[in-house]
Amino acid sequence: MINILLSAFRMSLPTLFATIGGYFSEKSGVAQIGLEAFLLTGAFTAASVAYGTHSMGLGYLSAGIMAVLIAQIFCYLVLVVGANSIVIGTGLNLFVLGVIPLVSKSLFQSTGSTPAIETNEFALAMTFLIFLVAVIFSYWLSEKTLWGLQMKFAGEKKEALKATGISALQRQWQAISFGAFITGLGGATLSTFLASSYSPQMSAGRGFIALAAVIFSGWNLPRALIVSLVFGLCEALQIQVQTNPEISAKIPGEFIQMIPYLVTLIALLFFKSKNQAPQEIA
Amino acid sequence: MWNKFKNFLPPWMGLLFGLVLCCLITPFFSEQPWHVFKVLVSSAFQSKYDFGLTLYYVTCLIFTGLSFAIPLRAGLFHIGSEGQLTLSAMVAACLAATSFFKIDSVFMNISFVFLITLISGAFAALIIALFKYFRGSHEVVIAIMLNFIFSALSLWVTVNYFQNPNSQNPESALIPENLQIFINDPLKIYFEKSPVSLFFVFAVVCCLILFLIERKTTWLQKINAYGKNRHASRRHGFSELQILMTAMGLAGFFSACAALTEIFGNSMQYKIGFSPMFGFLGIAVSLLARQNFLGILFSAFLMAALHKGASDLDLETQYLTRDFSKVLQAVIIFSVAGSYYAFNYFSKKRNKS
Amino acid sequence: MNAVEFSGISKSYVVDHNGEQQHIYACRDVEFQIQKNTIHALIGENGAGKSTLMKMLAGVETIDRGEIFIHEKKYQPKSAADAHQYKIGIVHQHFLLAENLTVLDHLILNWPKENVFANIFKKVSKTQIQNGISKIEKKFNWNFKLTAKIKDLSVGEQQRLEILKALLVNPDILIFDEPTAVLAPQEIADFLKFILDLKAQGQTIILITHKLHEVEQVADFVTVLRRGQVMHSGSMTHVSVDQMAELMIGQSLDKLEVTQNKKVYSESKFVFSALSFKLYNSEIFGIAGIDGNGQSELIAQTIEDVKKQKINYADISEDRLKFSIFSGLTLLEHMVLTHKSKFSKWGFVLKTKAQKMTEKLLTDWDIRPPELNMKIENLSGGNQQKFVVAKEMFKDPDFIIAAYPTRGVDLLAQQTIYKSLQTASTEKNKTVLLISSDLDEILQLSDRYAIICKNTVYGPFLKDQLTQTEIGRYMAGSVHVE
Repeated sequence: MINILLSAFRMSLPTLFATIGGYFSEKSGVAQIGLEAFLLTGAFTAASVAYGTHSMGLGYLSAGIMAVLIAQIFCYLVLVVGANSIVIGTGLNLFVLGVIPLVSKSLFQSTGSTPAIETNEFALAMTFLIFLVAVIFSYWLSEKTLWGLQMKFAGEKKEALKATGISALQRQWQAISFGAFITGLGGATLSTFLASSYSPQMSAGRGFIALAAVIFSGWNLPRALIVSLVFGLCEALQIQVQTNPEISAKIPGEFIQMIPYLVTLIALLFFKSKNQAPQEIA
Repeated sequence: MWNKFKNFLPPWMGLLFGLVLCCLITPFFSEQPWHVFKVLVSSAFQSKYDFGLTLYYVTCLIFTGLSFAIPLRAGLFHIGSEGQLTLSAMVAACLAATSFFKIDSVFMNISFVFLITLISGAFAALIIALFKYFRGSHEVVIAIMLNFIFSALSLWVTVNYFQNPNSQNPESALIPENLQIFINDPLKIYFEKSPVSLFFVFAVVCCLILFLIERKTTWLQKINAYGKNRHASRRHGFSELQILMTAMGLAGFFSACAALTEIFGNSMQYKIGFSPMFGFLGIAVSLLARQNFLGILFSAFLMAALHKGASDLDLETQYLTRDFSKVLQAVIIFSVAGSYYAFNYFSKKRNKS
Repeated sequence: MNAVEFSGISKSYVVDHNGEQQHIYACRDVEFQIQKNTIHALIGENGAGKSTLMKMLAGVETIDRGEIFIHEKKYQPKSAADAHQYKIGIVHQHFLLAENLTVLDHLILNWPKENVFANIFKKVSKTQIQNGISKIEKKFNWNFKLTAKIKDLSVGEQQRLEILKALLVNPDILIFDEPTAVLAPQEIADFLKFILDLKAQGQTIILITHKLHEVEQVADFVTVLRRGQVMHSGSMTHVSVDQMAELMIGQSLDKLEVTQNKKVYSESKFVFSALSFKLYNSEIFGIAGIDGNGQSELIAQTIEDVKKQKINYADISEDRLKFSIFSGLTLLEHMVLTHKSKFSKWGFVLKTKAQKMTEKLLTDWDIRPPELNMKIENLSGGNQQKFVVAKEMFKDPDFIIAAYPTRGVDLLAQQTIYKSLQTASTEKNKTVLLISSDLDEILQLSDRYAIICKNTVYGPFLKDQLTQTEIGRYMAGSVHVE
């Protein structure tokens, strides 16, 4: 039982990171469906850098930074140009899905998985540490600082923030970038913690599940993390079920793979989206 | 007249800009921009077969483009076309291959398969409408979840019950010979047995009909009005449920049309993963045309030609794979989005001086 | 010494008008002075430039041309923070409050910082805020529940929070933008007393309003703006309400015919579940009440009833931007949409017929500009409302529900709308249900009226049945009916 819970926690790490990232963007008033892009960017960057430099730490750092760079495209187009955030988010996902194989081919002569990285116990422990730091810092930033309050106002009533001399654009740009960094770290956990290399499209929709968690929890950070954990539980169960010969004989593999998405859907079925969304989210 | 035309100019300028930009970054992948540009724009026209293949892409893109454009008129962001076309393709191929319903007449059989396929596409899309109406859910999240679910479902049904015995690849058995009526249709013959089929004509006709409906009738008015102002539309007494269901039903219908194009007009079977993300490409097609039904004809053609070009790049260059197509589309989406801004910016500057 | 001096202030906006750029002047060469320690009223129609001018003063909007002097010092604010440094506070017409956040959140956000580089990673503590506002709270006998969410506060409480925010910077000059628009008669009286109090304490008050009786009551000076320009600026001693009104709109108003008490009513025509009494034809029935006392529910319920009873009705909604107008559609498209049966056959649009009739409608109602293919959002507020009324009346309805029909509408359009409602009831024997928060409007137009307060409808009353004080008490909910 404990095993399953621990396994659930491990499996949900990427989603948990993405949930934090999605929270910051959404709470500041910008809908964010580009979390997949940040996850994949982080995953690929971490796997490549860790392979090249033999350093997990550098892998994580570069993953976060690369995700932030990608996010700048999003920020510029949505906040300055005024394009629709869903359109740009979709574009960003496409972009990253296309760019990664190209870069991979140039670096590793293949568009498939990157070469394997050696992992060690220390690196694995570091992942948990990074997660802990990320969560605590994010919570503090959002709830205990003036910056966090200003970010919330950006999503609830831009005019009120503007009257204090700070533009919503500023806080939104910062929130999205910070969120992208955290999500990039989550991507790094995908390829260096849950696996030992990057494989194509390995995020498998976690970015969207993270977004669903944010929405489902009413845009509340602690609750969103718990919801993400529950989704992670489903994934862990899925693996358990697949490796269990009795059950996997009766239920086909494809059905089991559907579980996380099906559960998300059913959760949304029972939850009526109240108007808890940030008032001025776009 | 020029004013109207001016409104449609920005996205095409954006397209051109995006295309050029993409070519300019190719040196990072050790390629020549001019070579890449040439391949991208000329690949579709190199032979009758190439053009036919391109027209096949055009057909699918028109359908998925319509599938995005119609819900957008109602204010819905529909990115579930990919999942719906996957499901419909499975339904089409497996239903055709099964001998469960013993229908003798070819005409009846085909009509039956088509009908069920289109209905399943529509129903798949209706799920989104129902979630939106009864639960207020975010249609993007629902659509993505459904995409994954349908993908898994289609895989399961095909591989476990309708697997092609003559192949190692995950694909359905070929549909019975007597149902392969489009395999020798005039269009296909003219373009040297390329994937194109009479479905292309049907796609064009759909665009024209929709254009006329929007222009001359009141049938799409409620959907349009709802998209512009939900509250006012409710206040005016328009049934929100009806509007959502019509918009999504049509979207699913067109996604299914794309599936039929592939199954009955091209491979005569359901090959897992046949779609090079037609569903998402359709979004770019629609955005480029500003959701205008006639414009979709042109933008679908353009995107199809570019997609063909990008696929050829895989063969013509060393480092640019078919993934380059996704990058190209994304950059085009970005450029098109930015084009309106750029246009306004430059016209403001002109006004000031 | 003058507290504020405006010299040659101009500001314009560029508006995209069907693809062409147009310059619209919000303010043009505005020049006048505000004396220290006075109540200075700034009046004008909607769109006259009052709010824009004051926003420039408060640092919320930029100045295109001209100069402002505060206590004879040049004043060029780049942000609201600069305004705070010059001790200028503003209470906005539309509250800058976020529904889902708390009173405390808003106070923290607006708490004056010691310097520009104050730490954004620290939040002011709750106790610090409580101590800081206690002085002000005691002075005006206020009591703020810091943990309350804005959506749970009454409108009066929300306004008090806005005032508190403005008072945080210890302003010498306080600007109030349409402060009494959302208040009950009793609250209005309290508010007017409040600003007289402030003046007694040495403040300079600028009052933006269109309510001329209030100007009469408290203002020392008045400046009239029309279309961005100053029409008049001077002491209140020799200016009458009528003169002010004339200066505001640029022409003299026809005296609206006060409808006489109707003779014998015909049999009752309409019965609705939301109202405990019957409505007769040939009457205008008014429902007076402060915004937010149940009008929306009453309207919604009545419309449901109307639809069930299959009555041909006109719906002049309480919020035209939300309920009556489709931004992005043209005037012609609106007509075809609303009158599908008249302008289409079997789904096909009868274009010529629609165009002709729409053109006639636009000229009949003097809607400017009378262009069929103009997008509705490019019309002014008054013209939009006129169009909505015209479009609805085109149905030749038996029952008209008119909710806040002249909100945000210029005086001339207001007249047109009033006349149309009166014609509908007198000449055409239709029934009008008029819902409004403007007591003058209700008393002017209605044959009978009721008062709504906290979801209860009191009445019906005949035209001259109640005194203003009695009406005020009903509206404030301080009358108990058995």
